[in-house]
Amino acid sequence: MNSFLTSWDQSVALFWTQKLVAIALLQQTLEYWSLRRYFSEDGIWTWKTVSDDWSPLIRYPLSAVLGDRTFPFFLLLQFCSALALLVSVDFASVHFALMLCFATTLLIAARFRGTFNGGSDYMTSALLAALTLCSIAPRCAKLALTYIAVQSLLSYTVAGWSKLKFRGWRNGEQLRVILTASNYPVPKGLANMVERQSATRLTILSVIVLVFECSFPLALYGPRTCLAFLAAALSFQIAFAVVFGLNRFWLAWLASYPALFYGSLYFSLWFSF
Amino acid sequence: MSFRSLLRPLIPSWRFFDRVEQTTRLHFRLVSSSNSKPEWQTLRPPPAGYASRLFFNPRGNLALGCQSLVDRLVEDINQSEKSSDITSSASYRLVENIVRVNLREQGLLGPFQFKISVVDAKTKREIADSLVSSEISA
Repeated sequence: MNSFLTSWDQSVALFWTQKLVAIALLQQTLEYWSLRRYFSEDGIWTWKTVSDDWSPLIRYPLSAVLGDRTFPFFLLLQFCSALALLVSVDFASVHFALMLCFATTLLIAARFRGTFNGGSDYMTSALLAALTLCSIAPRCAKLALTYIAVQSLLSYTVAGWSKLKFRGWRNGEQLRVILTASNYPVPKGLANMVERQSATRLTILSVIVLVFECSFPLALYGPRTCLAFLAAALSFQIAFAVVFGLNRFWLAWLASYPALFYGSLYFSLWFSF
Repeated sequence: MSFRSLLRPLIPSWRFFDRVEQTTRLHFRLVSSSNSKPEWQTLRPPPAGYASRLFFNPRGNLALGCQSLVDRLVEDINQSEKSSDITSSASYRLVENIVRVNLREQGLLGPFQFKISVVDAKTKREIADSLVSSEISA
């Protein structure tokens, strides 16, 4: 364990963040690819509908890459960029792959007028923005890792505190509502099981979620504490994927964990003084 | 499009599931030439299996993407002052496309109507119609 902790420096954290974000991006691109007919001229997100109210100054140049016929090729470009990021080890290839991954991610988000999958798009963009900055200006590596760690921390803590303000979360009622009446495709068996649970059980489950999310900044206390929090967080994300169908979240969030772990090593030195 | 939309993925919002009091549902019906109006049918994402959606879940993500379009249209309706602004908006036409594509996938052809209803999350009862479209050609 101690040798693992001492070997974990800035470059190791950056390496794992790059590789994990590349895997998340490959997963996202493969899903887009299998849905490409919904982005064609007979689909839902047709280029005409999506870009109709855009300024011609933006619409015309972007139609060359995001138009109905060219968009599948653009997805292929993103797939190749993510694959290049995954397998590249030398600085120049990683730099080039990162720039392409970041640019294609932003443009694909524009194709959906902001985001397609909410949180996972936010996290992927935050990761790529920080990694690209670090690749352009390697001196900013610490800043990039800090940014990723802060976003990851905030994602749990803000979610926790905003729930805590609402009585329905403190008494378990919101958990029942979300699992039985929201628009998320919660499996029927699970929804029926939740309907039968007593208010006390749901309150206990709710309080566990609230305590976990609100106490997430404690992950920075030290590397061992951080590993425990990250294991719980990963289980939480996988449960999200299985229950709500939000499968893009867990890989995007996993890619932010190396920066959080690096942050915990940094903070533990700070606390020891 | 404003520059803000392009930058939206860089301005994260981390408030997940904090408050669900009302949900929205999208309904549709084919409009026949006779005077009788068929019942509204609800478009809902089919619940998928558990493990299958952990790594690859395009249909589930498509359903979630469509639901965000419906929710965004309801937000736009609440912010808009004139109803004519809404029918010409991109958010309205995107929801129209959802219904058109779903009808085509079910082999249903012809003019249609759609409506969005607001559902009380606690009682699971529809409490209001946020929007009822006029007849739209297929």
